[in-house]
Amino acid sequence: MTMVDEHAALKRFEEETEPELESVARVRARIEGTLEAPARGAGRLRPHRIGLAARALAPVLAVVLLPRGSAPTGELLAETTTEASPLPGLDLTFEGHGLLQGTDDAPVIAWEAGTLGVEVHPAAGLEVTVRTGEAAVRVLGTVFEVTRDPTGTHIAVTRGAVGVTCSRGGEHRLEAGADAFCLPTSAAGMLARARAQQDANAPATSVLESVADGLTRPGATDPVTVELRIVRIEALRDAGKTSEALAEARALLPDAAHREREVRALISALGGS
Amino acid sequence: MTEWRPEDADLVLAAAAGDDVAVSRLVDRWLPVALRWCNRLCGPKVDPEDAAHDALMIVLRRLPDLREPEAFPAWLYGIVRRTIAGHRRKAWVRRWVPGVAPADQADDGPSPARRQELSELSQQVQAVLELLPPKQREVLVLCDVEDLTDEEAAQLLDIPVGTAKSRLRSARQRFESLARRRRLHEAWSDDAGTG
Repeated sequence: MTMVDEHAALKRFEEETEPELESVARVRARIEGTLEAPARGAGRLRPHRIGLAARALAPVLAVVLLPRGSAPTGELLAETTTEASPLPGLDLTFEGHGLLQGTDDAPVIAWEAGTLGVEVHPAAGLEVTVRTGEAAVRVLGTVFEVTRDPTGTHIAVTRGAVGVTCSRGGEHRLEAGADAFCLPTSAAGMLARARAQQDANAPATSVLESVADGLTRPGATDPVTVELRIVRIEALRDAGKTSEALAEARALLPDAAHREREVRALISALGGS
Repeated sequence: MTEWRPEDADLVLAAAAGDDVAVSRLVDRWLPVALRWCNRLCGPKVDPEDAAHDALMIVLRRLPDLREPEAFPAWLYGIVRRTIAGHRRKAWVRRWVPGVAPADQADDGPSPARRQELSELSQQVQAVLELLPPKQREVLVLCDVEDLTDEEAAQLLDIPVGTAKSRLRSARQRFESLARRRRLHEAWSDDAGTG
């Protein structure tokens, strides 16, 4: 074993332990989830903070986290611009932010938040991919729109076809007029989805589905699990299942030391003691 | 410190004063750094994302206590290393307290997530790093993986430069010796041959 070998081995270790964009995004989502948790009182979100964080930080994050070895075109999609043609044959309209990377022949748009419209001219010979935290959309020469918000990623095809790969599932082809939806991948992401559904007055059954899904997702750490269970209690209450909600709240109490006051308030509001 | 920029001082001050946007910018600016440290120092038993999350939550809670914004990187590093140490202790408890250990943590191998992320060679490097005393491990990681200078590592570790240098010498010797014993060169040869 020579020193050269050891340095090479350490170099490989260095390369492989560079944080991946997805990994940073997962931790960031968990931090946001934890930051939001204490401010909810017995149930409401603080959308202001989430909105500010997402708007202010996503471009910074994208710039900082460009993976080594990629060949980015280095073009940042800022909120101030609504239209761009960064490459011949590629037209973008957007309200939100992300990063254009990849190569001139195979651009990759890492879309963070908001709505992105993409038009790819078939004759340009581009292999365009749009990635979000939940989805990868492979462009086959088409016009389509990607919208990312706390509930997940929505893809709608206007003309042509795209290949859509949700993080939890295989690729499938989406033709003109069709749309698809990719759910968040992490427990914190599902928590954000459930809260967004509550804010949008979605049916309690939908909220309960998101919570149940979230509890099975990666990153279901104690604080996130507690928040998900609180959402479940609220959804059960909203669905009129008071006794079930009360039982759930009582069961949660021993596991929710940092949210004891809120859980007790829920129990009281549900008629318990 | 290579990652410190002059404008970071204002960012730290604004975040400490409770500016939401500054807090968020600070997280996105330094979370990748903290996660990178965790990836390299957590070892195979501790989830680096858990450690980075917990460390950043401590940072945000204690930020108003930070007196000098320029001291932020060393302060952050101190929190990260203490958080990792705490997680390592918990991992040890999980392994040894009957009935607490999840099935996939019962053996001595790397976690499934780490198996996916790291090549055989990097897993071997990680295993050798685990055999080093913690103080030697971190100075070796900072200087030979993070590529910091002796001075930068000493600043981050809050120790005299001379101490950092002598620790690094010992760490390199021990790493070399352990690597030879663990036959790291075989993993390297295999890796070079296949990759």
